[in-house]
Amino acid sequence: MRGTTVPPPCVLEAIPQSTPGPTGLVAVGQNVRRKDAVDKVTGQGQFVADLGFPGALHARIVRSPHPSARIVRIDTAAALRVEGVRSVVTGRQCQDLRIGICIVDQPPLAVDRVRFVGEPVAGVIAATPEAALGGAEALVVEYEPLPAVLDVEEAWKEGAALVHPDLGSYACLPSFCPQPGTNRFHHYKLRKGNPQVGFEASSLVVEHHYEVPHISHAQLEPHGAVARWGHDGTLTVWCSAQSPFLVRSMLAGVFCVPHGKVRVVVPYVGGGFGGKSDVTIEPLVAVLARAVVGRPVRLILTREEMFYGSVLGRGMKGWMKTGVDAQGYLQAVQARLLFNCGAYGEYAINIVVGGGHNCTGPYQIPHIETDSYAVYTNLPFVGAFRGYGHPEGHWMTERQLDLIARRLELDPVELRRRNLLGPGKENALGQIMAAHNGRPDACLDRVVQLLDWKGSDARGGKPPAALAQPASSPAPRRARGKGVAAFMKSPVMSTNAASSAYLRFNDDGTVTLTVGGVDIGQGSLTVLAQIAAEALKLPPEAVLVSSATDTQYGPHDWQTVASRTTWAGGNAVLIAARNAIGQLEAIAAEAWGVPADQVEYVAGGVRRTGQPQDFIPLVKLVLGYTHPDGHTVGSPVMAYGSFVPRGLTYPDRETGRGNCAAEWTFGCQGAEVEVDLETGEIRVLSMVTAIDAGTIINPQLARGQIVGAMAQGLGAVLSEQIVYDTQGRIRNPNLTDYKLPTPEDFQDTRFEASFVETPQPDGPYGARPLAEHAIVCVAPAVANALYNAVGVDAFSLPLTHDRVLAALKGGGEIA
Amino acid sequence: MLRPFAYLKPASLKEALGVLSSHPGAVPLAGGTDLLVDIRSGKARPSLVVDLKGIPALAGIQVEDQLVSMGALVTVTDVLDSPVLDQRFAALQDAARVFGCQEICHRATLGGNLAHASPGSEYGTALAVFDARVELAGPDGVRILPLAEFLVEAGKNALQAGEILTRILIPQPPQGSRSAYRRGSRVRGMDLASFCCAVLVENPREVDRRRVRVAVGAMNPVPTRLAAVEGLLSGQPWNDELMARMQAEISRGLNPRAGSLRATPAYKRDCIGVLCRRALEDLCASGES
Amino acid sequence: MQHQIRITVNGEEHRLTVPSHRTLLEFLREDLGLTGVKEGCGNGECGACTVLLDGVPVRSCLILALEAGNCKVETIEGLARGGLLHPLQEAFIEAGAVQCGFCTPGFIMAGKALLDRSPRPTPAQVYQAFGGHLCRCTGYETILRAMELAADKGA
Repeated sequence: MRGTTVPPPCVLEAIPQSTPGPTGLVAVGQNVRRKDAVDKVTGQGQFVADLGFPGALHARIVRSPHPSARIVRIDTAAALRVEGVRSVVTGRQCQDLRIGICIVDQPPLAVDRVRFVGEPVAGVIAATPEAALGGAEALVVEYEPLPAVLDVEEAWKEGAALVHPDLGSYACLPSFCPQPGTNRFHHYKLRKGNPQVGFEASSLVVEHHYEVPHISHAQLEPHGAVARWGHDGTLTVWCSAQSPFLVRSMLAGVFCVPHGKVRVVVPYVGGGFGGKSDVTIEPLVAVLARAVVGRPVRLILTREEMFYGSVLGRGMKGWMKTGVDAQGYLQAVQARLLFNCGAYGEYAINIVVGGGHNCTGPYQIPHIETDSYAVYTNLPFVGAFRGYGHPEGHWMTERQLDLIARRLELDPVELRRRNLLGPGKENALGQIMAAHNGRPDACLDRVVQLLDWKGSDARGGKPPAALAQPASSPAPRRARGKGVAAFMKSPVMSTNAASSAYLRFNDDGTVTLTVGGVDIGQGSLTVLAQIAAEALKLPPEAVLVSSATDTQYGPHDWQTVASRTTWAGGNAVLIAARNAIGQLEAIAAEAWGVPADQVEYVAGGVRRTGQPQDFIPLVKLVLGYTHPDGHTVGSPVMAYGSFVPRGLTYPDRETGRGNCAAEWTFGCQGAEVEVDLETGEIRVLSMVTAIDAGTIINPQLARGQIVGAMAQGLGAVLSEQIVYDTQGRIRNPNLTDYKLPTPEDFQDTRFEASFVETPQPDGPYGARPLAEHAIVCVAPAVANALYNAVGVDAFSLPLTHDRVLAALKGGGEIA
Repeated sequence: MLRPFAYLKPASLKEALGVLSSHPGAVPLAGGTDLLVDIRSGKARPSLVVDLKGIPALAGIQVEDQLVSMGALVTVTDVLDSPVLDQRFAALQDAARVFGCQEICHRATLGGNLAHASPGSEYGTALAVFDARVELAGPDGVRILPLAEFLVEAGKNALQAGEILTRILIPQPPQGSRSAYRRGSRVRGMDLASFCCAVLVENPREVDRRRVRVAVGAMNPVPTRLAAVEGLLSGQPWNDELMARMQAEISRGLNPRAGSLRATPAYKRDCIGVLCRRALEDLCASGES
Repeated sequence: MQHQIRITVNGEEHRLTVPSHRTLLEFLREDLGLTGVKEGCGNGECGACTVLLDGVPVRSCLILALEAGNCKVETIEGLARGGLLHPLQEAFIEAGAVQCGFCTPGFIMAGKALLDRSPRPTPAQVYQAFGGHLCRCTGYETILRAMELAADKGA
């Protein structure tokens, strides 16, 4: 049995115009089908490992078995004798190269010293994967172990073993403050008001320690890259990357090659979540390929290497002290966040900043003192992970708020309502919120509805001892509870983070859109096509997209991170579309011989103002207009649009304040859980998010992001964590023991996504970022529900069955 | 990518035994769901892989008067779909439902699962309550061992060089008996058992004549029958008090390994009795319906 | 060590020589160019490499190419014919079950096998079919919805 035909590429005139919805918008707000969907359901879409490279060589990386050691000797002779091995590259051959922009601290291959288990020490290049493996196993490396520091608190202390004794000599951007002689490679300070004054004004002060373990992005597609150096000094890299232009810039810098000679091509990307942002394995593969100029060298990470050889996520120990007055108004917060960044700093340094400036949540607080430290340890390094520092900070704040509500005997919803930011209120950075920043209060109301939250839910928190009786019925075996948590998130990005777009009209009046941002699964190609369609009054089917991103042909984009592609990329598309319209109007005006202000772009073509019978359809304009006698005016329509947020500044080094955020997205989350009192298993019955993401461009895709983020967040709450042994080795670098949620884990879970749509004035059609946000408060919402159900207070993650049961049977805390 | 090896697919047991005993680096291949993982990781480095799936004698489930005989190559799916396994064998099918995932079940074999000798082996545990024995064929002939003697320690079975596990022999449980298998796991979908238990109840409706068999997995280096618990539960009315006693006593003598990624020893000790009680409760519930 | 095999893939018969240690996954991707079959873990843990072997879903990373000799293999590439999508492929699009798309072929093949056997599968059957398939993007909600849609369409 077969279904309907794949729609053929459309001819514009054959497509009926859509009817505008209540908003007057035609393409925006519609569930337009994904542009990449047929490619992906048929298997014809190509990811980096699917690309064919005749004559390609295969690379295998030899990695350090020690968390900290001096490399005494590397003997490549035996490896080079393995049949099929073409070359072995070690740190010696690239000892002057360093990776980094914010802080330049990482060699592509270890030189003299290794700093974590899994650090690349050598690369073997061979004709077959088997030979590369044989060569890697034959390589002899002798190490002399050095003291290692794995715990972030230990590493943070003065006198700890140093991961980078040369920290003081590293280049870094002026906004960062490495502390030579320590493992602190950045200290972000946020100072607002005077916390002493705030605590004196408080009738209740609550303080606690919190922890978030390292987790893995576990994208289903392993990270991969293929690099080829040309004999003319060009470098081409095909890779699974979120940031092709940043990769290009970094490679050009590392190898001192003109940017135009470096080409980065990104086909479909099988999941990013931050783990393929920045620059990860590309310099390594390029270093290897330099040894075999002219030949493509291919490295696809194994699943195990995805844990050691790419980046990990999160990892924080924190402390927070919160003061509140008798009426439940927050007065002061003091916080310290120690981010366990692993052995290299480039990738995590901005997480530490973002986590620092937003860790107090979506609340107005007069007095704040936050110290957020980027700390080196001898563990695999950490990079961006969906949420980018916000889940760590909100884990503390949103648990603190429930502890306060309990002590004040106040409904946690009401406590939040009293303190939420809103128009006229001042955030932690000292910015005054405007009405267009969104409605956190409305999000809270929605969650109250969705969870069916009642005043009685505010209490709960039965003492665990009363519940965890041995299972003599009729003692209950399960207990339910609800919890809420509110969030805000701003994009943490470079102050000149640009996006751009090309629009090219095809002969038939359709458009091909090329952008620099990458569709990593979030659906950006489709959303951007909808924005183009709306602006050009075209049906969405008439906007075709280039699915691969190629720095040689595509327009610049900073990075596909910070949930910014709809917002920034969409603005670029809008500008390009207006530019195209201007070109079309100019051609028509010239054709009629009238001034440009007497013509008007309308759906399907251009007409003369006030003369509806004078209409030139697009197909007669897009390549220039040809008069009946053959003479032609105008030329093919190609438009460019680019966008950079204006007015962003670096945070002040002393106060941490400044115009650090282009916009804010507010939201609220809620969970209802059922706890098995005999086994400690938490089942999530409801997981809901209300978010003010401005205008929703594509409701189905937006819901996909919200539900997907909640599911990913639940994995980190319930079962995911990187487990290290005492030697800094990951004990679970595989999907057997790094437990991702499976379909059955959500069998009882009702996911809800609700959108409040306060338009963003500088967003395309009012859109605001939304892709990361619904992960931010999953953990505190579930933990608050856990307490509500059984009286167990969680301060660290994950809430595995054994940890919950131990708390039920003992102290009532998951410390 | 797998490390290179040679491959043979003999058509008879005799041929397979000949090949295995003449090649020191040879390993038998059944479903491959453990072996290929081990070859990839380098844990197993065979020079020759001997695919047993060409040997008809190793396939199929046969029901005889006193015995159910399962070929070593019977897959987990075969167990789940078998029309000849009645309610008495429900534990074997319970295990199949939580075993890996359907794609694994289609390939993984009972023989392979037992030979892998994992402490939490689904079938090592489930078959224990059936007093199953295993038939081993070697160059010197055939021998039959009780399951408990076959599973020597974690990751180690009693197969000697050149021997193949050929059949699993299950004495027919008494008519009317019922069985169940339950596991604890970190997630509800595909996972390895953190710990597990199997129960078999003879004469479930007659308290006096009721006999209970209990086995647990991943609580000791090998799946373990619990004679004391069986004594406690047999011939007694099942009430809350008895179950509470069972739960209190079940983990006596069990020694779960510390450092497991799947569950702490304390957690396993706390929960194994819960699992066992729930298995029995489910049997009661379904028996009365 | 090289062996001759005869294998029918998506209705086409192939006779090829393969080394013993080649997995079915590698054979399909590298020898036949069927890169719709994805490698997510290589250890049977993720489901991305699922193909049908004589109609039954299996993990192609845990099977030697030689073990599939004389068998019929179906991959994601065999589902759409002549520009016509299989109803389950359509349902995946309609339900919004595709995000990054890397797990999609494995889910669709497992789902197709189930629908072939049970055109109106119960939720329990669907969970059984997808129990070993990981998706990091969707939270599975839309994938389960796609199965319902496909069943309604009479896949």
